[in-house]
Amino acid sequence: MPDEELAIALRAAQDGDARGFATLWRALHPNVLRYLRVLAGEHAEDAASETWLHVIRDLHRFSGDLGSFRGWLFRIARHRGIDEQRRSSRTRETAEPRAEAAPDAAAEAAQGASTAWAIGMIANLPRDQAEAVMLRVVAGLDVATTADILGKKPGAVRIATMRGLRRLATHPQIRTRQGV
Amino acid sequence: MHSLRALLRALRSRRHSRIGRDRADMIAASHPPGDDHPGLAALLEAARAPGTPEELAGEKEMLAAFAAHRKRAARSVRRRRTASLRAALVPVTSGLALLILAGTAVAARTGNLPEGAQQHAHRLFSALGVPAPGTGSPHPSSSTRPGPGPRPSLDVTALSWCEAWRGTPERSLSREDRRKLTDAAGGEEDIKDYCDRLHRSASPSSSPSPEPSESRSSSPSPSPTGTPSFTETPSEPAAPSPSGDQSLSTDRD
Repeated sequence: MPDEELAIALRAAQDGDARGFATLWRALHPNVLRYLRVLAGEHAEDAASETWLHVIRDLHRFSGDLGSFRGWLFRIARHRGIDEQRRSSRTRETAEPRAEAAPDAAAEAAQGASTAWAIGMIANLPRDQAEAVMLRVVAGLDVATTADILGKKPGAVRIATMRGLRRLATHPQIRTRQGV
Repeated sequence: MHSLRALLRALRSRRHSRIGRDRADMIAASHPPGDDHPGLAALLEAARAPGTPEELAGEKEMLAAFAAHRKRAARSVRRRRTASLRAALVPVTSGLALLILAGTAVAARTGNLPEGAQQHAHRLFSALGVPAPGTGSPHPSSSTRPGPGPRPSLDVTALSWCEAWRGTPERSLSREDRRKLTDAAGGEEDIKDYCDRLHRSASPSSSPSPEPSESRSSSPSPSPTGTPSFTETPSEPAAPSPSGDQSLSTDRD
């Protein structure tokens, strides 16, 4: 989806157009969900829903271009992801294990298996590297926006991204996997 | 020797393939990592792949949430609009009402209401000094009304002249003051009349007029004092009917 079309969809959604919002959601939701998988694991779906409900609620107040909307969206996602994580760690003893928590073999067969595998690999990185790789490489945010979201200096974000990519590149499972 | 060359090549290639900060920035900006990292390239490609149907399964719910919020927002905007309109109208209306009330009160107090309304106000608020219609105001401010003769305006000074004139005629009043008094009264022979009127208006309105006979005989026009109306009021409203009538009326009801 070209950015120009997405920018038009953003304006339309702000004016209350459901089709514009649908376009925006279809284009950006997968990456929000993947980022939240890295951040909140099995609670990613809930956190993603909360993120979009927040966006729906405050969209009329948002002013900015598509780039700043991406930044806003992922900032909300990060907050919701951390909230979900905190809540789940508080209720871990009482919570029942979710049935879809371990998709392994079944998910391998399904469409997007390689995506699930890739996200799982990134999630295994140290937290700051994993977040930096997700926001910079997968979500496509620039250094300044990522640094803003993570509350870090731009230099630190660049280093975390580099270290994460380096670690992935040298990971034995990835090195032997010649495409999927 | 051969093994040493291989080791050097391996070290060099390892140095080349090592991802640096700039390289990482390029990879982040959607440039493929290159042939030296096929595994990483594949991983990032998979991580950036378009959304799967599974991931996009929640579209309907999200669109429903969007529509519901739009409806709620539209309703609250309408409510906010009416609320702001109300917020603007309430002070304006109450201010106007206050103005009208205050104006009516002042008009009633000074006796400037239309006759019927003044009568009504007088009946209701006579205790607050609302005069009956036609009697004018007990205040000197109503002196603008056209009266039959010259009306007293410099109450206190004129009153002192009158006192002096009454006490020992021709004597205690200086020539200058006497001339002024004559001017104010409108003539030498009108001084007594003038002074009488002045006296009545200066004395408390609830007290009976000191010289009713004189004032009535000398000025046929309605007297500007509020005195008569105050004494008359109790009898003015529809007199309560005798007890017999009252029981009759309750029977009728």
